[in-house]
Amino acid sequence: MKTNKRIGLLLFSLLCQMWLPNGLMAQDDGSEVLRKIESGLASNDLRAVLQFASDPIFVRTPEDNASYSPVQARYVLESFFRSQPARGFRFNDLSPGKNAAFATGDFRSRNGQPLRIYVRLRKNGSTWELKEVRITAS
Amino acid sequence: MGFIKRISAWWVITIFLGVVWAISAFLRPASVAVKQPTLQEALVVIQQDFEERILYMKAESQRAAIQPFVLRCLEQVTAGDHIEHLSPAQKEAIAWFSKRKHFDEKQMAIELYDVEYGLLAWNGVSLPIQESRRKEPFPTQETIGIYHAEQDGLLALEHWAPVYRRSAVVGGIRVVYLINVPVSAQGSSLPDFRLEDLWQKKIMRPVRVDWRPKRVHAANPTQGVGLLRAPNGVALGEVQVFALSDAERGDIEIVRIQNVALFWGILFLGWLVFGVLGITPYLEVRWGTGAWFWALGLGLCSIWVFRFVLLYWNIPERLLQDLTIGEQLFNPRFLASDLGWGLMRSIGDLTLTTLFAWFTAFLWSKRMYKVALKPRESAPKDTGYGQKVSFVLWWLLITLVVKVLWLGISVVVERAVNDSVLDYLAWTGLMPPTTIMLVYCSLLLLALTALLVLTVLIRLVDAKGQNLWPKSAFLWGIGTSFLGLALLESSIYLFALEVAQTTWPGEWILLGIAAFGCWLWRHEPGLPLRLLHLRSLLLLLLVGVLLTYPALYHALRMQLERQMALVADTFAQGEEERVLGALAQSISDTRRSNPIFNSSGNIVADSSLAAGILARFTEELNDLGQGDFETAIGFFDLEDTPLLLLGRGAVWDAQRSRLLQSGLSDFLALKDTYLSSGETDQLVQPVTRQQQNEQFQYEGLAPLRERGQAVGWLMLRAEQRIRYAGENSFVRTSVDVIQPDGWRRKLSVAEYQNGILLRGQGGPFTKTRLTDDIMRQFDQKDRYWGQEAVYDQIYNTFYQNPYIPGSRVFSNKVIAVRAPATNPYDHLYYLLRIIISGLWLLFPVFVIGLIYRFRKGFLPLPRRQFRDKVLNAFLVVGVVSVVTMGVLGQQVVTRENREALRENLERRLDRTAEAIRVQHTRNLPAWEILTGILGRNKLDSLATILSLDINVYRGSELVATTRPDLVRERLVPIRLPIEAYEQLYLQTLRNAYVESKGKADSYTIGYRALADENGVPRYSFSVLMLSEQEQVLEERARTTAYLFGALLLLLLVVMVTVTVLANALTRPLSGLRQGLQAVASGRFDAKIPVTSPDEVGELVETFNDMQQQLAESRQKLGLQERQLAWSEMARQVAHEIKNPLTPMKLSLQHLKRAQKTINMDDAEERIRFEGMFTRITATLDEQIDSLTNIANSFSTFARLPKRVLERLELNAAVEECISLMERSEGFLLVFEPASDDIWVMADREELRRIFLNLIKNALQAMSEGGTVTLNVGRCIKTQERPMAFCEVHDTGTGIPEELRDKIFQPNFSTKTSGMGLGLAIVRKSIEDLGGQINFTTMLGVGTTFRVELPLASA
Repeated sequence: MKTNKRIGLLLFSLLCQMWLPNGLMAQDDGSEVLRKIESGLASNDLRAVLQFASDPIFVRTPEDNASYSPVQARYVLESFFRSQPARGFRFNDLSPGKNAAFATGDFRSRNGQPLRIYVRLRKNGSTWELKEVRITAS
Repeated sequence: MGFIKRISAWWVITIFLGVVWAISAFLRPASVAVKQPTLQEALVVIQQDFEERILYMKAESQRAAIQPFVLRCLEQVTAGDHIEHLSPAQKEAIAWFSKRKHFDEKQMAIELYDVEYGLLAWNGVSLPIQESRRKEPFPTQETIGIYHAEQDGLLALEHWAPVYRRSAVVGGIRVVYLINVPVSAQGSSLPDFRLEDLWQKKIMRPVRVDWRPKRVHAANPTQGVGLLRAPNGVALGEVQVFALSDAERGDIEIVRIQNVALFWGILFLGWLVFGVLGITPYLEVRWGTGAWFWALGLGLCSIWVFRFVLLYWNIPERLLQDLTIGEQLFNPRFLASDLGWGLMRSIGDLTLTTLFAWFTAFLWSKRMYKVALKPRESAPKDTGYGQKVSFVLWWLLITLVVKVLWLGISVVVERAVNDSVLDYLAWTGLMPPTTIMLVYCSLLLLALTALLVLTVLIRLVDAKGQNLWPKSAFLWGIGTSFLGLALLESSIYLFALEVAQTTWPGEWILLGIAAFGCWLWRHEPGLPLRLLHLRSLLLLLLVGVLLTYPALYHALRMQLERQMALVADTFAQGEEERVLGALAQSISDTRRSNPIFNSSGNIVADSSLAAGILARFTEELNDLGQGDFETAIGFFDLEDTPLLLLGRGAVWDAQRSRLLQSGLSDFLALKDTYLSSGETDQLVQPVTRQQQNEQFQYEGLAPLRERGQAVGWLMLRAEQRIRYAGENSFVRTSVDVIQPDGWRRKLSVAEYQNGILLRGQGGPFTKTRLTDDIMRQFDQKDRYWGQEAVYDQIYNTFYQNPYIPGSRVFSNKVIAVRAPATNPYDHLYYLLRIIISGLWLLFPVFVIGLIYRFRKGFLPLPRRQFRDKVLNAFLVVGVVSVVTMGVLGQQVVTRENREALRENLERRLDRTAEAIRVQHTRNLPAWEILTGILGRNKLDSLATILSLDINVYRGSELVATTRPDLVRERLVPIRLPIEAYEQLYLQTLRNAYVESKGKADSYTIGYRALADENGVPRYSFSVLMLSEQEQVLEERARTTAYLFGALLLLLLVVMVTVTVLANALTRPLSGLRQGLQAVASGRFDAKIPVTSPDEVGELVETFNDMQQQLAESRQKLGLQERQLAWSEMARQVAHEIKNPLTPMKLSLQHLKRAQKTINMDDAEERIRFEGMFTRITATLDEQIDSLTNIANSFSTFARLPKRVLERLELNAAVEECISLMERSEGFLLVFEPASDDIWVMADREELRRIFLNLIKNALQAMSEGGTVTLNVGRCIKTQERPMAFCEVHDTGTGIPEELRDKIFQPNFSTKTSGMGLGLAIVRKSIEDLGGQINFTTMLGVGTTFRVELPLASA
């Protein structure tokens, strides 16, 4: 009897594992999203930046260039910013629009090399998606 | 080693490691400051490296310059066109240069020039001389400078070494050496290389190099600023080594110290885990059986704690980061997922995690295996309600475990696909790249881990139920699990629990294989060890592939379907965001940073400025990797007057007013749109209106402001070049977005409007209109998946009916995206790739298994089964055949493909030459016609007609191309490769074929020379077939896969056939063996059935006949022996009986005589008679007792009492006998028991009799006292049944030689009393128990009797 109870509890707990939470993100308009991305870049908080990432998102850095899933993009950018942190970053140029928005900003890498970050957003329905992050030598 | 000693040793090592770790963790930078070069030292290192490179270049040019033909060649150079007159010396030089292979062709070039900078011979990377250099006189002394490639910003060192003839310069050698390949050039075929990065690693400091020559010597070594000088003292560049701040230096040293501390920390923690795992069996011993669960849980949890600690500390990533292997394994750009809090954040982490999972499962399984094997108390079968419920619950638990395991595998596989950029399905050959191979191995290992866990779990449940449930319960249980799976899957789909949905029938396969494995295990307890054999490992590999592939293919298919839907969405949106983004970016950059205003605040219409802006804009667009763009820029004032127009559609002419009109109408229309849109900044959009002149796809407009005041307008426009008729460049853009890397997937896209084909790209959409069936699908939904057959090829097609942008109304468009469906041969190719990857996993497992088996004494095998020999032999032959045929076949296929490619290229070259020829109505030589059509537009038209890419060379120089983007990427060489030049100009071949290496693969370019009337080549052109070559490569990979797949299938079929044959052979042999064993053990009734009408059947029949004859002979012999035995026994009985009978008779006769003579009246005689009577009756009693003993002895020998077998512990049984006999005075009984319990099946009384008899014999053999030693133990492993032994050793006189054969015979005794049946009875009892008895003896020393009995089964 005791064994049956244990088995029953185990079954119940395993069944419960199948129900996973499913969350939704609230979206803002283009400029607000750009500001949040800017703030995320300034504080090296890539989760804040990539919360808007589409799947896939195009990421280009001086080391490589490819389309990644949002999860992988976070790791790639974390790897890049670990060696080249963007301290006190701000966008120089914001171009919000009806369906697409762009923004660029400059910062200096650790060895003094000037780099430029370019981000592109696209409106999908009522939500804004981050489609591209490009980091190039400026 | 005892438990206490082990624990003590463990503690000593733990403390040692802990102390070392603590010391290393508390180290500070000051205490272990790593010597880092000072700034000056760092500069010296850099400068020395720089000088070495220059010396190398000088040596190369010197090596070339001293060749005698070089000077001859330069002397023989005539003015004019070299290609018309190649001197013998030049030919020799070309041949020599083309063979210069010892340097890296991709990083260097070596060239021979005449004094007019005419190129005579060359080899290596194409870096043509800059125009500025050509304007200067030919160098008269050695010079070194910096070469700067304008097209992509590439930098190289350039060394000139003049060649003299009688103090006059006649020419020179030029050597270039790449020093900086910028990002923009890194998509090309050139290697990624930056000299700065190399120096940075060498000196461990940040480095920046400015390669502009410095006139002002700003060197300041103490500040880390130095000059990179040429040998003549000219400064070529300035290098700055950055001093690390104290904080940065501290950071570096802290990282170094941390690495040391982490290394010791990992050793310490690993040792702790080892200790926890090692102690768990003792916890069970100490705290009882129930504690094993907690002990095991503790051990397994400690393993995963260790794994997460490794993850948290970035081990081994931080230790391997400077190595190439670390770069590949731990770089997130290949694969990175956040599943399991980082357990899959790189390929290396995924591999480590699966290894940990395997190790955990292995330990758990090993422990459970012991639990499963534990003997259970025999209990009556209970089929009551409680047991039934328990039965169902256990098997439902297994169902749930199957689901969870399969879900886990599916999730990991899905993440490995979605969170990576690896192209798992690329047709690049059977051997996948290292990264993909590692992922495959990890997924295989994960699948096998799940299989192991499930198999052991099923075995546990089965073992638990073996004594409780009926025999058929196993099958019922498996059936219950399958049913449970079906119900579970139905519920999941019914309730749309997408998170729990997995591929079907993966779970069923997993359960089926595990159940089969468990069933095999039941019947073959040694199965786990047999799995380490090579054949078993190969089979396991196939099982792992069978489990992994469905999940992998499902994930890849889902990914492709998502991509197809994404392409359709992008296509439907009707604009290319990246181009618009680049347009907006360029406008912003222009407005912000370019000096377009003069001091009065007016716009400066400077054409060079505008050209620079346009070039940057075009470069930005071309960098998107979406092909070639044409652009235009315009500046307008506030009165809408054009100030400057440049780019496509603007042709400079003296009559500016007329030409400038060409852009004005577009500007006005755009400005109206801008003003009406309410924009205040810039407007970028795709062009939707009808354009009057040049057609552009994208346009952007922005006001130009100076000091806040609007002073004019800037307009930028862009158009993607369409190369082939019918191609829509936008669609190519869409596809490129999805697949920017590597070769393009075979996605075809088309747009239908009102069901009619409007435009398409990729493979032809043969449907010019959509069928009614398809159109009807959109009555209910906006998307539809279908499968279509087109010319025997099956395609998966995705149709989408998008909304009108900005509304929720369906448009009249249908977007279709199509990809070829996977056919069975494709599946074969993918499976083979996984199998080949798995072989790399199999090999170390096999080696470890070999070592394990060798150490445990299972190797070398004392005896190998015939079946194994046959199977191994066929396997070796089969593998060798497959590999040989496969390799040969691949070579044949490769050669044929190369030939086919060349034939294709030749046909294209013929077509192109013919097309050139027909361009002109006059009968001119082709080369002259070509001269007339070298303008870009005409060449493009020709290329469009031919659907080819054409590149034209004059001599060695590229003079025209239809693919400037490929030239930029250096896939089309700027200079004719020396191999092609040699073939066309020296060997005067009509065609030349040169292999070039791209980033991913090599490709062949075909060249054709166009000769003049004298047969001298004037021009040459090349055609590229990149997409066709991709197809050829794919075809080659496909054919190779089919070949290997077919061979592998053949091998499998052969192995199955051989297995069946081997079984067919060995079964009767095994039957024969059993029959022989039966005969040896005296059973003659075990007839072997004849199953085959062949020689083996005849052998079996002969054996059966022999057996029958033996039975008859034995019967007769038995009868005779019995008769003899009876005679002997009767004789013995008679003899024995006679002994007591004689005195009995004599006594009776004496009594009779006494009775006759006695006078009963005489008291004295009466007393004497009574005394005699008493003596005689006593004698009679004695003799009757003796007769009784004789009768009892014979009875015991003839018929032993009924035997009751039970499990007896041998040490205890022997000890008991010793305790009964140890009161014998003058004798010492020594017992040496076995170190562990030894269980045998025997009758307790009988066993006691055996040992008592032996002990008694031993004691009797030592007439003057002595020592009897008994020892018990296990026999050394044999292939037969495992046995235990007991030896009884005495220190008696020993057994004489002549008696040794008789001691086991009945009625043999060296004693005066007894019947001599003791040892005969002992031997019979032992043999009846399946054992044996023998002895060794030495006269004067003693005798040892050895009894061997079979061990009881567990």
